[in-house]
Amino acid sequence: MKILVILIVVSLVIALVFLILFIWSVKSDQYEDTDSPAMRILYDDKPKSSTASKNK
Amino acid sequence: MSQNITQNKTICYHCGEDCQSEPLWHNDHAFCCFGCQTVFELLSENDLCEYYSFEKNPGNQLSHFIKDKYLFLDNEEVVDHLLDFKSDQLAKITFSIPSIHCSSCIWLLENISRFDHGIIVSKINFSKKKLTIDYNPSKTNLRSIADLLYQLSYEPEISLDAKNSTSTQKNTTRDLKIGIAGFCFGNIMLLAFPDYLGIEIDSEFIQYFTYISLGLSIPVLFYCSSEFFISALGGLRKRLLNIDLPIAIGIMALYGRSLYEIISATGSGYLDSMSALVFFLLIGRWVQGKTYEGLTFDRSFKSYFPLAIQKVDGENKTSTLVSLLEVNDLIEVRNEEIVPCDAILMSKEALVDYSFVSGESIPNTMHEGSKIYAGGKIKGSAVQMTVIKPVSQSYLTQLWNHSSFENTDPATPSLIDQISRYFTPIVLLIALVSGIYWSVVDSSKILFVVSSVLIVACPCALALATPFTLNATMNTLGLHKMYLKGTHVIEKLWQVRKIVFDKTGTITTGSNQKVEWIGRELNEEEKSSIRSLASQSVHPLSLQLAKHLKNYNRANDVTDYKEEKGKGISALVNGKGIKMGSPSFVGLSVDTSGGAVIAVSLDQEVIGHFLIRTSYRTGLSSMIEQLSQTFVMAVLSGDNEAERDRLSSLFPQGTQISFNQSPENKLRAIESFESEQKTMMIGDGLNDAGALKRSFVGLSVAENVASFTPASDIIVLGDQLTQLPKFLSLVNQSRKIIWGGFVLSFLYNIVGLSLAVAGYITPVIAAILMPISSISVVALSTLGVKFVSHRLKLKA
Repeated sequence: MKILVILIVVSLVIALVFLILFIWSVKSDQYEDTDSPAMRILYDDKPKSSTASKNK
Repeated sequence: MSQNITQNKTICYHCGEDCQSEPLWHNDHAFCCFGCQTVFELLSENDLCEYYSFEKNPGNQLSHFIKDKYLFLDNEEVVDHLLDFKSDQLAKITFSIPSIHCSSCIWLLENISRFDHGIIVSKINFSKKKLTIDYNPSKTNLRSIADLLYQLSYEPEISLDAKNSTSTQKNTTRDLKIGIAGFCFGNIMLLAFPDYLGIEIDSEFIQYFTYISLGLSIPVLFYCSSEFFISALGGLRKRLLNIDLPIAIGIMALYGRSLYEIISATGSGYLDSMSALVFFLLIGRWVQGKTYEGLTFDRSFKSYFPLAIQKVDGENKTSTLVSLLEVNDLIEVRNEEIVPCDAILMSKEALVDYSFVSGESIPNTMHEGSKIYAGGKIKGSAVQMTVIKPVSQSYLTQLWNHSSFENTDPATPSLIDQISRYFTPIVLLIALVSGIYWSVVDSSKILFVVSSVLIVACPCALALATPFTLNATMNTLGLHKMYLKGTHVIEKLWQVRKIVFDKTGTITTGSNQKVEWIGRELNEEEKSSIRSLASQSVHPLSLQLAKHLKNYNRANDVTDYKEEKGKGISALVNGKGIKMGSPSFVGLSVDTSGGAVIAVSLDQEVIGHFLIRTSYRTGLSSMIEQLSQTFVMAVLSGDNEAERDRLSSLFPQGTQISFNQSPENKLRAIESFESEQKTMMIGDGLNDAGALKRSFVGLSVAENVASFTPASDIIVLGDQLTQLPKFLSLVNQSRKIIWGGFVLSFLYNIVGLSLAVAGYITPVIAAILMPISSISVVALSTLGVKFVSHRLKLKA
């Protein structure tokens, strides 16, 4: 039954890691805008330099 | 009659609007107007045509481009006030851009650095419709950025008023609290599992488990549930028994009892129930606090007025902050600009559109020396005027500072707080009685029973029924383009007994006016000539007429064009002399009370006149009929009596219909209605702003979400207004659903309380009863609203 102690400690530590990640994500404003990142991921990255050189 | 109508509609490649008869062609794409084409050219020059690949026709149509609209951003003072941050190399600005609406918008606006290399980063917040731009002030300036956005038809809304938004801080705290409460709740429950299942493990382990649970519950008690304690104390201080008081008592009873059991090693406590309770309650609060962040409900006149205006000083014209204007300053107001303060006209003539201020549908012509009130919009050429009252004292501002605006909301206690007023004493009484009973029967059980009663009676489910039902109702209404300021508006709507309508822009549509020709029949050529002439003028009536005759060719030879301000226009079209304008100008005597009249003469011979009448929204009469069954109605119009007969036939007999109402009159009228019964005001313009604010519920009608609406509780899109009876019916049903939720949670409480009084509440029963009651109340609320909206044929 001693194993139970280790398991519980491990599970709590893992849960705590997730909690800290959650707090970090809230603090870094990731819940501020939930719509645009979902759309932003669809855009292709165009090499900026090539377009810029075309303009000038 | 109408041969020139194009058979298949051509859709503008940029904005998706119908191109009417003459699309502009460019690179094989059709455009409805020059503005859209310019944006396309600008994008293709900069290799940004990907914009059109994410969504079809993603652009916005720019109705009228105003040159130098952002001239005031040259003023350093204004810029400094608007910037979030400024140093030599970096400046940050946040624009509010209401026309952001799709993924193409995000892509384009986040790539605007390709237009202007002074822009470092631009980032959109889609839900708030805000654009944050970091730029290098030594390479570019704010005005050119604003002009660029405006050219791309993303018109930034700039006002000094909009700067103060501090709601973000609060939201993150609530997110954090919910997250932490959920974490603690889950883990405590996990540790309590052997207990639920009755698994026998060494008592030593149980001891460890309970200590860990105790540790986990500390943040729940001291951080997550702090707002309930604060609110309960606040209520007590004001001698009010609000719903947070029984919640706080329940939490304390749970915690105290658990602490005692764990320390004395007599049991495992109720920490799981406590954290579940806090978790669910926080979710309820979060749901209730949700609002439409992209919309502004609290605009004051300041956001309507321009920030800065051209001040004329001899030869020089400088842009000056409106708030710094002084009496006797000479200012210049250009086309489509708003007069910021009461002034005397110095130019010979000006065309002033007061529709937004007074509700008059037809613009006025003002002559030199006449007084122009703040809020009027100048049409046509720029005019100069002398300030006679500073902004803070002008007519409209006075209205805003009206004494009746102070303490407008007499803070109607919410339904849940009304119930709580009886609920709390009853629970305390039950606890007392059962305590006395057990002190006689078995005094060792007093503490156990009393704390059980307090635990079970904690009105968790009761406190969830309201927020979830109201939120579901608000979301359903939002799907139908009726946006509520917050869930409390629904509770206010329950009490409304009287509905007051404004006329112009509210029950009439602004854009679609009915044009009627009265006179001898016109042939094709004549109509085409009239259109050509009407297209020459920017007078709103001419524009209406040109729009009405848009299917006729305008490629005529117009020579000798003359416009006499306030009277009419004349010209030679294909050699024939045409005169159009007011009846006296043309020489026609006709009754002008039915609407605006444009008389027409051809080669000195009067041939008839056009009658332009405002048209009512479709479905208006059935809406009024349905509403009249439950509500008393009234109409307050700022316009003249021309429409009296048509209006009184629409509304039920005995409806009070008043015309020529100034904003002040409307405010007074609402005040007197309000003293008799709760009133909802429906209006659209600044002239209704006072009435909207003073009324119990103010509903403002907007033609699109991006357009200006005065401060109000509800914003409805114009084409959805006639659905109002359905909306109000859903609102009323939501009240019944809440009562259903109350009944359900009372049943739970009765069962729980009887168990508690009898002394049977064990941690397991508490752990089961608490979440089940909460979840079933939430389910009842949301499903109930879905069911009702389905029955009303509203999508949910």
